Amino acid sequence: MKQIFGIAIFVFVFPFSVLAETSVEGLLDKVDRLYRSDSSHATMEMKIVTENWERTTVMEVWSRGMNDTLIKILSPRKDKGIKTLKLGNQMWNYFPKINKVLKVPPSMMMNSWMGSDFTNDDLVKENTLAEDYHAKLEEHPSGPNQFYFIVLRPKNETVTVWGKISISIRRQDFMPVEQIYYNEDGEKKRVMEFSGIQQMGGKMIPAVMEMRTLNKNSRTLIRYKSIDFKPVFSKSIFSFSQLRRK
Amino acid sequence: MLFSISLGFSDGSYGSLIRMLTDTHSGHVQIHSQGYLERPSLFRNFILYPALKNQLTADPEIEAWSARVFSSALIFRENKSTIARLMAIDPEQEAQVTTMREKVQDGEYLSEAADVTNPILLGRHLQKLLQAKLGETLIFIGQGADGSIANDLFTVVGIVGKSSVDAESRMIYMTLESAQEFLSLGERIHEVALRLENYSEARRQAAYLQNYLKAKELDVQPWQVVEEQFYKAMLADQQGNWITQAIIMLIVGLVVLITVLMNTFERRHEYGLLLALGTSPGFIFRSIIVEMTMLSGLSVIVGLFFSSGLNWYFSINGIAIEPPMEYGGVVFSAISSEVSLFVMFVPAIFTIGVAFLVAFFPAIKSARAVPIEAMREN
Repeated sequence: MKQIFGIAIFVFVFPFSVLAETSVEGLLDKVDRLYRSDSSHATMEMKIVTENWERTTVMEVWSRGMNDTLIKILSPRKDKGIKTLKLGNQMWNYFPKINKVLKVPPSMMMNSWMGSDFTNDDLVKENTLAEDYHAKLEEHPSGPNQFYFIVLRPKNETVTVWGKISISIRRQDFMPVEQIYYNEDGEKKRVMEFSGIQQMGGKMIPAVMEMRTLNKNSRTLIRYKSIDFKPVFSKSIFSFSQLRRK
Repeated sequence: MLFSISLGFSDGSYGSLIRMLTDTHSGHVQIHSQGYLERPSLFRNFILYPALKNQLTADPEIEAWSARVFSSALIFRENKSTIARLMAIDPEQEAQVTTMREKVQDGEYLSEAADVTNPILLGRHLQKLLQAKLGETLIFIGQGADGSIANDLFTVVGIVGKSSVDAESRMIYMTLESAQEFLSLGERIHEVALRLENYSEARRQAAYLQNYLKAKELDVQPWQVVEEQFYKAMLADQQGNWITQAIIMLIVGLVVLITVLMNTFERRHEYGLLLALGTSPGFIFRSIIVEMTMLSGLSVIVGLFFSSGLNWYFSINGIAIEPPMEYGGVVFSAISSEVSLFVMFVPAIFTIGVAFLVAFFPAIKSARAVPIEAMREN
């Protein structure tokens, strides 16, 4: 997770490394560098819509490098002050009302994060996919002249619920447009769409991401309200001991 | 008398079982969102709108009603934790529908802890598991109805359940307001339990309310549907019980038959004399039938007097079962009898009917007897 929570989700799909620009790895690297920064500070709105309920949450997100992220909920009032801290591949949630920090155990990694269509696993997984998936550049099924189409398939030794992940990237500016998650039977399970590409924090980024879980008929929409790629904050905020502080 | 007492205990036991079940938990009729009973879910909820409240309050056959919310949560106390089922109630309304208030063994009932924020009644088993004491604060974490992570602090004000095996000893009870806030439910609830004046009217009352609520996407079910497992077990047991009753009926019938036969055959020479004096066979026949019917009627009156007294006594005092046994999920600690028209008149009509029928054979035989032969019989 490089910049913010949403970007972290994006990064999850783009295993980024050091490969040539013309290759599939190079394309992924371009996108990776687009989002990479030493640190970031963002405010975003997350709207979750399901068959049973709808909820909008405003969050403040700090990130440092690829490994450390802190998310603090600003609203609604009932959830205000709840924090999620990610250090490496470990996660904790802090609940101010009960003044308790709960570690997210491995068994709950595939559970929803804060009721959204993102899982805890989406948050903690980062560049491991670069090692876990084979990436292949294929012809885009509907717009071969407009989009690059990258297909990620898990390596034999990879433990994952996804049988395939496809990513569509605009040729003109290397902006991601859509990524689709398939199960092992080749059925579409989740779709994440990127939109609202605009200048924010000195960079062009998709300001809106929508994740839809198809069999649950639910969706989560993340909209960046602001993002700063050169923020000033104490490094100590990414520490377990600081989690309880307001 | 034997038949009446047997029926009394049979009906009384089932009656007290039903009362025990409905009084301790289910009530007589329940209202849910459609499909909730088959597949309970936090999201299958409804708002108890004012018109329905008024209907429930105004209905003379509904003694009381209580709104409820159900969920589960992870409970923490220091380094101990467990998952528990939550039931949220309006303390005063619930006390009118079930014996909730009497379930409190230690501490105080929810409505008596008005000055405590988020009071809860903790089940005995959970209390032992968490080693929680009265007045202590427990941490609850669950799922909110808006997808959020429900988290809050709750204070133990009472302990429910006499032992760890009681159904309520694994439950946590809280106020409706606390649960609705904790679970982000707003004014929504999962269930309304009704207490009727007469539990045997549950099916009719449920059908009536269902018709009233048919456009509201709500299900109204009597206790026979709500506690289906218990009801089916009870029906199966009742069917088995009729075999016992049939044996008792057979014994009663044989006793009546022997009495009638003895009564008539011992007087055959008298009937022979009457026939010799010119009495018509029809009169002999009728007099035997009437006599036997009257005799059985008299014995039924005496039997009713004693059996009703005994049934009444055992309906009040019952007979304790040690140790208590569980039946369809309900702990059964005593058997009791019941005084009802069914218990009184089924044995009475049966006895008179049997006496009437079995009197035909000796009556016909006596009416057709040859006077001289009948008079020679000793």
